[in-house]
Amino acid sequence: MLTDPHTLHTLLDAAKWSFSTRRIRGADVTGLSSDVDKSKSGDLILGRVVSIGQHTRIQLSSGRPAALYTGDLIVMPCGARYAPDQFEGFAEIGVDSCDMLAGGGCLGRMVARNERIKPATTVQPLGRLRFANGKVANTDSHSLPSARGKVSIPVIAVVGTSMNSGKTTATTALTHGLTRVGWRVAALKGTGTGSFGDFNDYVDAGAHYVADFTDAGMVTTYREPLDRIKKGIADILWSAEETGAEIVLMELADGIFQLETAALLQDEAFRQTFAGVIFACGDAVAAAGGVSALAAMNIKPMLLTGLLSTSPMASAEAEKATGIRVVSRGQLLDPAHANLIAAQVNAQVMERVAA
Amino acid sequence: MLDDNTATIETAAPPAGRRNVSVATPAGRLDAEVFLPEAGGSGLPPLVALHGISRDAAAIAAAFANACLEQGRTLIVPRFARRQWPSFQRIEEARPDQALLGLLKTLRTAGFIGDGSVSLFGYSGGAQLAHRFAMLYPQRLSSIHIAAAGWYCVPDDTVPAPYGLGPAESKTILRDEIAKLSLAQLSIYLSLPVKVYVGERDIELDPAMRSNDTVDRSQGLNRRERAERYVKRFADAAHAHGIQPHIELQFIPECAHDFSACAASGQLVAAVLS
Repeated sequence: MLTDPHTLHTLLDAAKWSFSTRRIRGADVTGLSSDVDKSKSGDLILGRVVSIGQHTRIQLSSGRPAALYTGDLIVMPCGARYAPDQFEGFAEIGVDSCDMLAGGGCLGRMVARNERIKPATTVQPLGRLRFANGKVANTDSHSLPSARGKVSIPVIAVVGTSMNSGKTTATTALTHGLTRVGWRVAALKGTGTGSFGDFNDYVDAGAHYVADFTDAGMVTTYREPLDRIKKGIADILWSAEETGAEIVLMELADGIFQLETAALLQDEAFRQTFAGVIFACGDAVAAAGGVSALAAMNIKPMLLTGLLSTSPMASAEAEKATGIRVVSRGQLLDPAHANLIAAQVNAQVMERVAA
Repeated sequence: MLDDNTATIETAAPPAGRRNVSVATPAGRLDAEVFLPEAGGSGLPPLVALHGISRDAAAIAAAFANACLEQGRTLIVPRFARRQWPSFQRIEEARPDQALLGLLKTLRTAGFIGDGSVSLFGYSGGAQLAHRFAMLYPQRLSSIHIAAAGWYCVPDDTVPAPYGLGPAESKTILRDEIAKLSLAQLSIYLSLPVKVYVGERDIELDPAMRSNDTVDRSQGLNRRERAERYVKRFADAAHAHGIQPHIELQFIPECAHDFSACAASGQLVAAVLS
């Protein structure tokens, strides 16, 4: 029944499409494959909500959250998840059931759960979406064009000790501060799991261009091959420069010890992408430890920020321990401070060009 | 499903003419008159022209408007209201830089100016703000024009703020911060094209001009002498940074400290727009 085009589109029109499906047009879908157990990361799954657990809402492709009810139809990509505050899960879809690992997408199999949160919302997979050419619809199907070279604009990486260390706060504040000066800023999410939270925050901060790894075809970067992640980052950087961005802020998800983030930071060629690194952390000890860990990767942050910066005493301790300036959210929002950061990374790029 | 966010929107140039713009920013409200050229203009950088402590923005507008429009150049004339901005000349606790940036952002959003750099002119107190603004945001300016400043912030970190970029003797946190931020970008500022103007007869002391032992000894006794010394210090600082300076001093013949007289000669406006 579900392969009948009319019925299929009736169901797809009724379904709640998650944010990470945003580049796929429902009208291009012509069929449904029942072989859900063959799903791989990024494949779009039509499913029915069976029970409501941790995720009571889905992040819609239109950019708003929607409440979930049992029986709701949803379209979400299959994908892994790495979120110490919530779940760890793999990109595996069971024949009868799968778990909602993230509200913006993705569906998969939960393998670990933070004790403080509820079990996952469960979903009955109805099938994988297919295009007319028979291929399974995947987040990679309509991704941005491949980069045609390296970008010449300065790129600032924003990394942190962990989730909720202040990376997004720093990224949005600096985006806004730079925008006040008149810089065209691209705010990008290089790694993580597809979600509109950070994406919308970047847009709200006034970024000239916003994209994440989903635009490069990945619903999540967790458990993706390093070369695939690097290509995705190169693609969104290229796209940012093509739109006229003058400076890029790129947030890397989770902490610097997270598998893919650590692998990226240890990759010398990848590090050359950045003209500066901002490190967000919670206190002076975290600052000292993080700066030391980054030094082992040949990275010296240009500044420290995050929760740490809300405390003048903690900031003074961190500056004394690391020799690196601590900058608060208020300072990042201040165009004079933001512009100095722009000047420093522009100078770094010019030095490289001269060398 | 969202449309690709790489899409751009083509917009027509706004109609030529004069506009009054008022921008409320966290730093304070700033009003401005904006003169838009025909057909979107010639592509020359817009000129932002700042008045002195008399707040005579109308005189500034009258002096520059026709010449700017003939060149196809947008003219922006802010007015820092006396009550809101008792000391708009300096960037310290009051943040006229943020108000100016807010104004420019509003004009960009409205399509009145493009994303590129602007040229900045200031007379007297406006000249003080112009060069301090330029030291903080040198990348956003194509040139600066400093006319008859009463005193300067010299590009020298051995001179305490606010007269230079060294640590302030009176511990004002923001004054120190602004000095540090300016110092860190000094080489960009020293690379800018800078023209300094002063009336040939601008040698009288007047109550509006700051005079004390520190500034008199360091910068000179009158505006003419201070302009001459500033140009030399700027050039020396540039050379010390390995930069070929693009700074020149122009005397406005027969003029004392009077903007209208300087403008009437025609030389000031012509030099700024050349």
